[in-house]
Amino acid sequence: MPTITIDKDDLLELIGKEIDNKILMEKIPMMGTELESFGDEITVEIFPDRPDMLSVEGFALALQGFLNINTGLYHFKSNDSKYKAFIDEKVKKVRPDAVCAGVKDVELNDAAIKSLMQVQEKLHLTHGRNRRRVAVGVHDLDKIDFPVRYTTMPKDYKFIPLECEEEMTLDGILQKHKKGVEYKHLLEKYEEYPLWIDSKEQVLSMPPIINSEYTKVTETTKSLFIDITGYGLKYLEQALNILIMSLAIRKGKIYSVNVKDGNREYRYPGMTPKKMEIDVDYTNKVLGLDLSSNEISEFLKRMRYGIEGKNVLIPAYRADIMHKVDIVEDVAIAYGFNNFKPEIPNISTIGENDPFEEFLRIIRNLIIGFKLTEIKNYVLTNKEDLFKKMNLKEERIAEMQNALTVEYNVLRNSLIQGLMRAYSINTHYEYPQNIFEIGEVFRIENGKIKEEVNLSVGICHEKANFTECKEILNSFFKNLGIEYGIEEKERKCFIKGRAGSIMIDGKQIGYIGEIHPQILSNWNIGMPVAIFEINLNEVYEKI
Amino acid sequence: MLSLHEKKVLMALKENEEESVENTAERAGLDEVAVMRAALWLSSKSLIKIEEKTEKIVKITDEGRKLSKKLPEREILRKIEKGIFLDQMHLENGIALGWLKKRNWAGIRRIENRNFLEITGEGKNFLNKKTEDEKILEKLQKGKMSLPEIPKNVLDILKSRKAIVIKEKIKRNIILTDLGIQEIKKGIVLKEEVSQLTPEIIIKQSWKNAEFKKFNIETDVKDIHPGKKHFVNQALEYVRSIWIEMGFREMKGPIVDTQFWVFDALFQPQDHPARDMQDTFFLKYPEEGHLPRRELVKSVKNMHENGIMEGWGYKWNEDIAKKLILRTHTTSLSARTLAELSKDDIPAKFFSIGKVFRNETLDWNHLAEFYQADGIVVDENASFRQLLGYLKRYLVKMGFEKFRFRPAYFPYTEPSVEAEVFHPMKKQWVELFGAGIFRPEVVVPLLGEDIPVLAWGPGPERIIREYWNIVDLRDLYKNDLKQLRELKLFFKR
Repeated sequence: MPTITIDKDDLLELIGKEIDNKILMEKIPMMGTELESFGDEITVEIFPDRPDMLSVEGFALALQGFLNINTGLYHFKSNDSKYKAFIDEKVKKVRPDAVCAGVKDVELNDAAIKSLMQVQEKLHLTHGRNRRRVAVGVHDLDKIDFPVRYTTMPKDYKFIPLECEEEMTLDGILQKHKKGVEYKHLLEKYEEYPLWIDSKEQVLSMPPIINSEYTKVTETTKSLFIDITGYGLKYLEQALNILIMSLAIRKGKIYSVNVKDGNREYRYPGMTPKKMEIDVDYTNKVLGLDLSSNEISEFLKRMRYGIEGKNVLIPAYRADIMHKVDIVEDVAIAYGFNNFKPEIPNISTIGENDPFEEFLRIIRNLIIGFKLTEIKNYVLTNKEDLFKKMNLKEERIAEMQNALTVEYNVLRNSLIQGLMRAYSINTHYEYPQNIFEIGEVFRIENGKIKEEVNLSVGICHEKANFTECKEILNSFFKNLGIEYGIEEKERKCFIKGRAGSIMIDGKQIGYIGEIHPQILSNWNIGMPVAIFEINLNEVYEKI
Repeated sequence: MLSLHEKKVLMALKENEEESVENTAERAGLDEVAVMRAALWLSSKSLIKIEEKTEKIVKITDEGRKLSKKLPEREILRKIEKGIFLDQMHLENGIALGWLKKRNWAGIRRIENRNFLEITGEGKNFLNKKTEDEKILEKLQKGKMSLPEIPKNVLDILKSRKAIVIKEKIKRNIILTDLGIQEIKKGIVLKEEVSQLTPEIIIKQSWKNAEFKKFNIETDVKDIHPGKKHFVNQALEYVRSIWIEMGFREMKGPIVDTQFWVFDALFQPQDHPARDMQDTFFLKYPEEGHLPRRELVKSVKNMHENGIMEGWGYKWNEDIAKKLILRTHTTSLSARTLAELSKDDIPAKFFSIGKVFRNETLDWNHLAEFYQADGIVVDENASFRQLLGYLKRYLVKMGFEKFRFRPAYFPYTEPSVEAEVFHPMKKQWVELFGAGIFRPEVVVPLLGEDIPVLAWGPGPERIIREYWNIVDLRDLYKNDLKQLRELKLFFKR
């Protein structure tokens, strides 16, 4: 999850009140943000559903309400302007949607610039899905000659990208510029690339890659033009509103832009809050509380909602309200998670273990009666262990596509390899080493994965042999009241003539044998080992 | 009470109040180790004293054994009985000649400028008689002797010929004390002593005329190892018991599952960062699984696209939902369970314990494979307060005294909550697990209507780690036999 860093003095100035450190440290985690570190700089983790708090200003706005310093809706005033933007039909095939707005007289001090850069970067990463869904460009408004247009240009079209001295072709930017290389996968497949261009044919930006040097924002910039491009107007508008909210709090005056997209016309930003009826009963039912509609309204105001009669006004910068339950959660946060009295209801239900799990518990108890130590391996393993070291022919097994380590890139289809691994790392400890594992194995049957649970028992000491292993197997089945048989069957990992299949009702459900000395050497084990492995799902069926 | 051996030792000292251990052993009919053990007990009861003396012992060397068989000067002595020119002899070295002269067994005379060797009277004397040192050597062949038994001149000869070594030996004498003498005077009755009780002794009842040997019950015994469940499984059994006690039923389901159940059914949009390649194990083979009944798939698709009031606003792709992955949480089982639930089953409570996976490089704080214990409560009247009630009960049963609930975010719950416990060592709040109420967008497609479903998913590893003070998470599954044999059992009151 994304984190933002906040200058504490700047935060307190935005909130407009001196607040004790202790209270800040206590309240921030209870507001629905996670406090990562606290000092002159505060680092908080922002949940992905609250991109509006990725800006220091948005965070301050929320905290101001939560601390009951200033509550209710933050009012935006939008000024009309003659600014016009056109969206070219050509861009629809490449990066179809765009919104924009202007802001004048912003107080761009250090803290404000830092916050603006931070919110852009974090929005790109999270809300913008790493610039694919949403990309933001911020420009010096005074450099731009309106109307502007969002269009595409051929790959050999040229402009000077930000922080560069010479013109580069669009293709050159993708191939050579640092940002171009980083994000070229978003454009590469298209014939032409998207550009914002003003009426004097000056390029503003090449979304979602880079802005132009021409409209660069500096410390002396007073007015800003914001362009946002991507997929899904909803997400673009949310991002625009978050930036506008941040700049408005920094005393910026909002100037709307008329956007003409084909034969539709929009005016951005649209900061009018959405309305939703407050459902008092639903809120109380979900939370298990008995709040009056007034109390609910008060709590909602602390979360910076507006109240208009029976309706809640949802700020335009909020991107997370999909259902009335999202409003309910905010009531709970304002009410305070510490203030809920936990209760266990008096409803009667019956507790029950899964019968197979219960069976496994019985099996485990039986096996430890043989003085065996239980081990536990990962179900993820590798073919080297499963087949090569066991001298077994490779079988079709479940394989991972993207495992980070080759050591763990397939799912095991049997357990004995895990026992062998345990023996190979415990050679310096006292013998006898008699061990067992009960665990999931994954076999392929008709192209589908079959998940089953196996039991494997291993004995290992100077005189370990087939007979002793069979004694345990024999006692195991006697205790379960199951008739079994052993049929001689060669298996590469066992000594010839000391290996067999374990059969129930004519069906093979496992195998038993003395491990071949070559296999023991493969695992660097210097002691005889005898092992059996059985399919417990099959055994379960017989009980 | 005296043991049989102690009595025997006392009896052996009856005639001589001071005796060597060897002699005592012979008289008592015990071996020396047994005598010493009994003597130590007797001395602790002040019945005897043990006196230690160091004694010098002479032992024959390999060289000595060779000499004893074949003394070089004696070999020559026979050859020179009638006299011989020195240059006619083939001597390997001068040792034999040197000793002939040293012993005054032969003399040299000059004849025609040649050295003539002839036997002396002393030499003739010893032709058929052994020297003192030869006799001692023969004796030493049979066993060691004490230093004073060997005359000084012989000792010097043997030492200079490296035929012997002198060693120090501790010699122990047992001396009766006055208390010991009294004890003997009181009369000692030797009774049969029983060490290991045998079936024979029991059946023949011979123990009636015997005494039981006293054991030193404080002596260390060797370690043995019981059969034992893996410690993680011990803890998981406990977690299971907590939910069973509260009336929860177990749910089970596949580890390898489609994205549909792990993500889509839980209202996680297909471009959600949590579904990224980097966190999730995708299967190369088999690549795809099957989707459930048609209307459920359609309903989930509709929920993603349009929501109840508002959806994610993108085109939901069935092919992505079919892809197989290793489940990243057992919440997939909760989704599967809800999809199978009928109205008559409600209210219902379920739990699951199972493995979940993260495609991460293993280090001290990260595993690719670990456990999650999910729980859900499906009840028309379930509320957030009740959710906290269940969580509180779990935390208390897990032994946490100081905990809190704070707001959190999970894509499929609203409200969402994180349970945190106060770590007394780190002096800070530590996240333990997440919980919440399933979003209506999750519940409606699965249950057909919006009924509250409380849900949580604690990972027991963190608690297991605390219980056994395991710092490195990898140590949970390293299968070190020493660790498995010696870790104490899991028990919480």
